[in-house]
Amino acid sequence: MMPRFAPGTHVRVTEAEARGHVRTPYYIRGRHGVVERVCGAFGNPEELAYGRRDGTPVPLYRVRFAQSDVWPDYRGRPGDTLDVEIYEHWLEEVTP
Amino acid sequence: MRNHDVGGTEQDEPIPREQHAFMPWELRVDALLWVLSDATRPGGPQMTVDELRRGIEDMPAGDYRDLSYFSKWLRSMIAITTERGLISPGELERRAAAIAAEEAREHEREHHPE
Repeated sequence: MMPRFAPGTHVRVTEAEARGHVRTPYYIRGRHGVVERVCGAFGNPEELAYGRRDGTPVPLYRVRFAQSDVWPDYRGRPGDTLDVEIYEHWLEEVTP
Repeated sequence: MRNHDVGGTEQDEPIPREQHAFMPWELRVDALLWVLSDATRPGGPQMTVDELRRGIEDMPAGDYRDLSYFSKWLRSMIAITTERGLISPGELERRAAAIAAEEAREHEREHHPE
């Protein structure tokens, strides 16, 4: 799978309420960030966790978030950021 | 939101940050996972780390909260290998009971020699 998002793309994390195993942290769902890099393509953990190993590799991105966007009461420095690695199907492009 | 979704939530107690030495059984659990998840094995690994995580996340909330790190690994590895048919339900308990009985006999021999 060719990655859909290039570094610099503004993205939003899907706010899905997942039933099974996912690698997207709960606290980051619905947040807006910017693609920092494409990490490559890897087996989908949501399939691997249930023994399905023949799936198509999914692009994985390192997405950078402003800490103040993630935590409403964040008290660190204003420019602090948080990087989270997120699979492509959890991301949608948004206009900055 | 599931049991393991604790990132950013308020906790009753502070998180202990000091490292501790590993117990021998913890190192064994780690080694066993390496064997089970060996990707070079012909036919593929017996289980994946993704399955390990799924087994941990599917635990009841109380177990997830109370069990230690490697206890959760072990519990999940038992669940996944049972699911795959590598071990059968009850097999582990029977083996543990056999080992306990053997240890009891050894103890008896040492302390009450004929």
